[in-house]
Amino acid sequence: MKKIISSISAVSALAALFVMPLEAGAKEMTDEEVTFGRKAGNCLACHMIPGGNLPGTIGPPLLAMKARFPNKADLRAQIWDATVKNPHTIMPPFGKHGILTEGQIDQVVNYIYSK
Amino acid sequence: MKKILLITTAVFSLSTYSADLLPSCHNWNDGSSDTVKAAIAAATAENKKAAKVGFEWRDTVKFIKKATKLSATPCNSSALTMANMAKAQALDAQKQAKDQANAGPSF
Amino acid sequence: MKKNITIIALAALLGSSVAIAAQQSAQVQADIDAFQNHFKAKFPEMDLDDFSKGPYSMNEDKLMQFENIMEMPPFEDSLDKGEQLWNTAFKNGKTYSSCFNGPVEKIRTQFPRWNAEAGKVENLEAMINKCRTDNGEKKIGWKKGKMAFISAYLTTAATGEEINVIVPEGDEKALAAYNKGKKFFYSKRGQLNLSCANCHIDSVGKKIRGDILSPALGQITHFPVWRGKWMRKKGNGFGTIQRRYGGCNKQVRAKPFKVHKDEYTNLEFFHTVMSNGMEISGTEYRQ
Ligand code: HEC
Ligand code: HEC
Repeated sequence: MKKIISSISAVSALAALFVMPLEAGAKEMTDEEVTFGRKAGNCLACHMIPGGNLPGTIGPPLLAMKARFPNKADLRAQIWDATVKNPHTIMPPFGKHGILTEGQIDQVVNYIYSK
Repeated sequence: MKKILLITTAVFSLSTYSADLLPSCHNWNDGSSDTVKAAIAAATAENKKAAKVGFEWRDTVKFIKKATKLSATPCNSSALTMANMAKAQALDAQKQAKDQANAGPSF
Repeated sequence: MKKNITIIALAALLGSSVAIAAQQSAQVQADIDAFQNHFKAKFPEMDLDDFSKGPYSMNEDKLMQFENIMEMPPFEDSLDKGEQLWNTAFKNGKTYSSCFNGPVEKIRTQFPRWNAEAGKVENLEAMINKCRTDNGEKKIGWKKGKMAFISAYLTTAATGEEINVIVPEGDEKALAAYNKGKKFFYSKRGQLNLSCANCHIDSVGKKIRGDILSPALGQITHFPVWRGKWMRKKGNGFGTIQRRYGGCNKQVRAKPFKVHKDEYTNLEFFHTVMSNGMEISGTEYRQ
């Protein structure tokens, strides 16, 4: 088992450049890093989020998320696949297309739900 | 569709505790385990279909190459993960091609 | 139909003035009008040619910075090299101009063009390499270097000339090539699931991280461009339009296509037609 784990982290290290989902297994990134990181969620590319630098303006600012999404699961669904609500959306389907792992999506949800 | 979701979920939710659920790691010395070989072949075939319709994703071939390389090492559960991830991408890309069949302007 | 084809074949022989006589497909003209009207309605204070300044057209400060750089552009040497290459004779004594019609300032706007005989779109870079092989020379690389110098020289020579790409009415194959380019432009692709239109129509003027998104209208009036980013990447900063397509595909995590195959050439056909009526602005600086 240990060997399995270490070989997985070896893979992650090797493939770190492009295998974000595996890297996630390493659980090294904080919620904020997953949300802001250019090679992870990169939500700042399109959204202003308090505490983030150089935000884009394509999507609405992510503020007062608790009021916007009383049901946390709805927020998660928006991030998992925004095309469900709006088929023409510009927002990438982070879960559906495996851009983030399920665990990383939980991290992002937690992070922006606190905003 | 459900199947794709399942695969995607399975593949991407890999974390340390689920690693031991994956097959093929019992085969310490057999780098060319049939499961892995089959997974790599399936990923390659599906990715060819994605390329044929013009919707191949950027990293799929990289994953397949990595899987192939990893399959040469004794424990190849990562190779299987990588191959399945490539296949999930290739299937998503094919689905994307279908979804975009009537793409056009909104004005 | 047959008549059309002979006219076009003749046109190819006789030069651009005749080619322009081919009539624009009505469907394509309707697309051009809808496309340009969308931008005019969204940015009523802008003139058609203002859109050619890309991201700088959307921000006054950036436009000023851009204009300052263009006072003494960092790429003048390369334009000189392009001119030199253009005028240097091949081993057989001929020069590039023997492969093209009209004076040097009238070449850029003839491309991309529909070649009815070959049944495909030809762009300027393809014709530069064809000229080489027709004259017993080896092809040169497509996306940068010498190819970009020559192409940039022709773009700069054509400053102020009007874009007028024709998809000939009644030519089904030409329309099919155009439609492929159009579909490419509007299709979401890659892991990030984004189309060219998502960024360069839907989000024009908005910021993606620090970058202001340019309008698709007028995106081709100034290519090849000299980019600071490409300069830092090794090489000397120049890149053709198809080099840029590859970059924009990669950033949405789609596999880029080989340049000068049907995908990007048909895209270039569509993309250029949409800017019909705009002036070529000469090779420009981009960030
Ligand atoms: C490429 C641009 C883009 C990226 C990257 C992006 N989004 Fe979005 N997002 C949008 C747009 C545009 C909307 C507006 C709704 C729509 O068009 O679907 C949106 C809407 C949302 C909403 C709904 C807001 C509301 O008030 O209804 C949430 C929540 C959200 N995004 C979260 C995220 C998170 C979290 C990330 C990073 C993992 C992210 N977005 C990345 C473009 C983007
Ligand atoms: C994720 C958003 C995005 C997508 C999708 C995208 N681009 Fe871009 N593109 C950019 C950015 C950012 C730039 C640099 C700033 C600018 O000029 O908009 C750029 C620049 C360009 C330029 C250079 C414009 C100039 O004047 O220098 C061209 C041409 C271009 N894109 C074409 C395309 C085409 C064609 C597609 C579809 C294959 C595409 N882009 C898809 C973001 C995008």
